[in-house]
Amino acid sequence: MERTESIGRKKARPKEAPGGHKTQKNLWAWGLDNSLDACDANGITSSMTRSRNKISFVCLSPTGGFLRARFCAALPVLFLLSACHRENRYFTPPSQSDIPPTQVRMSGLVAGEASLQFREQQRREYEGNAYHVSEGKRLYMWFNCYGCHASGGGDSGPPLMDDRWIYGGEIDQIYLTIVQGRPNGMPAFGGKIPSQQVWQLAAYVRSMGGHGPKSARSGRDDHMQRDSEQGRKDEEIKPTAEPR
Amino acid sequence: MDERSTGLHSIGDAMGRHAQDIDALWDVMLWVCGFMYLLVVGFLLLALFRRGPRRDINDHTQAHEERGLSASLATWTGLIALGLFGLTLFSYFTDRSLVQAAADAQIAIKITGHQWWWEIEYTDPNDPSRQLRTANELHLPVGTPVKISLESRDVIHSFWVPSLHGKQDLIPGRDNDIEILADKEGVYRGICAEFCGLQHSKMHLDVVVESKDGYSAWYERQLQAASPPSDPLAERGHGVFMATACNMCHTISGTDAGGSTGPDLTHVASRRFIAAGALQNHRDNMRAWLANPQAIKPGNHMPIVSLSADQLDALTAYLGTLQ
Repeated sequence: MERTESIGRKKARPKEAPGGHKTQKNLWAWGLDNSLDACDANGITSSMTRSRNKISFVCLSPTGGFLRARFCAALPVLFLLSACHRENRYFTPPSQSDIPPTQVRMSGLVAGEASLQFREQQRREYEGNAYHVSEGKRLYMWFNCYGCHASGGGDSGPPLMDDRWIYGGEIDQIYLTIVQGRPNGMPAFGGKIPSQQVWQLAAYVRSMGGHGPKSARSGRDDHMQRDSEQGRKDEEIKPTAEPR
Repeated sequence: MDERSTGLHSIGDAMGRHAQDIDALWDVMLWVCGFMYLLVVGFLLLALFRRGPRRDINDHTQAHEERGLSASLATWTGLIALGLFGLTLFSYFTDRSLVQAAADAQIAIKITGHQWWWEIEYTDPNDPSRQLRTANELHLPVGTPVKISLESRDVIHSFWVPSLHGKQDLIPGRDNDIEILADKEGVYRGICAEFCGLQHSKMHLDVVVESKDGYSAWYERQLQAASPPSDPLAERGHGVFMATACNMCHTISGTDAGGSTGPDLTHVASRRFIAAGALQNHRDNMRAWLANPQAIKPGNHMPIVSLSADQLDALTAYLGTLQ
């Protein structure tokens, strides 16, 4: 009898531990009640429920709740701060954003020394900034990168979303590939695209492969999303299919 | 004088059939609502300054006063019902008149909204060679119904030339249209009426309504390709245009420049404004715009192209020849 009660609904629980009543309320306030219900539904016995009540009572003493409340209040502020750079819009390029080819090293097989500091700086500047990445995405269509590389999966040009790069997949290497062009079809856009736009393009190309913070990456285009109607139909079919 | 675009810009200056309908509806609403407002204020004042109930009057006099009040309340209710019914009826007929398409729309135009400029295409289903692509300046012949289909390439914009018609949205992935019949020659200003990003406030449309002859002359002129520059400075500018970033986005017909993401510049010098109404079109403004478009319309999609002062002069001279 006791067992069935505890397996049941929320109402049954406070009876278990009179002192835990407040705690339950606290838990619900933090939106944890759903997870508890899920546990119950899975058939956890009454004794376990009781012990869990005790544990939670200890964890969520009034001071603990207060601390947690403060922490939760501080979280959005922290998120906001961390997203500051992401939202900045820089319309004018920094004074020295053109790079001489000597600063870029394509691979370990090529002589020369890449300026890692410069690379890091450009990554911070462009890959972590949602505005630059989305501008890169716009330019990717405008300048018809799409024509050869499709949406990153590659077509007559090589794919851009994998980790196999002939001429290097770092942001400065991609910059130079766009500016100088590469054998077998990649045109040189040097002088035709202002350097800031090339950096934006390079940042977008990097974001295709999952580089850079997720918060700054552009969302997938509507036309590439799975058709929602079809998706719903697929989900409907699955559970009804009986194994034979 | 302000650098911004000029032209009539008021629903009070209705210069087209549709705008006149809207103007009439506005007038009726103003008078009906104004009358009701004055009544409300009048009754409020009356209530404020009315003498309080007298102790010494008898029931008979009080009932008499109450009757007067009841009668005026009934009249009041009647007025509200009548006013609302009248307004509903009037707005219904106005709406009906607005959507009634003239069967003989002789000119079909496609306007595409971009951040932050208007692309204008005159289409001719019978003769593709007479199609015309321009930007930010719409020319219309007077007294001719024109059908404009509205599309957007990025976000939602709204087409609004208050002296000619009401607003109509440009929605990505959706075909909207609007019909315009301008009754009087003149220059009207249109704006984007749906917030569309940073430079929404500098997205103007210059509408020039001219005589039928004037319109045909303009149209024939616009159809012609750009003539090659004759003086050496402009010739150098032509070289700069072709060698740098300009032709990645802009078209000048008759040359190799064929970019289609920016405004068509084949006859840019003939337009009254540049940068979608942000600047009047003269040499100094054009040079300033080419030198640093981000200072004039921060965030717009024309990048800063680093050019030397000589190159800027030459480019400005070349664009000035594109009449």
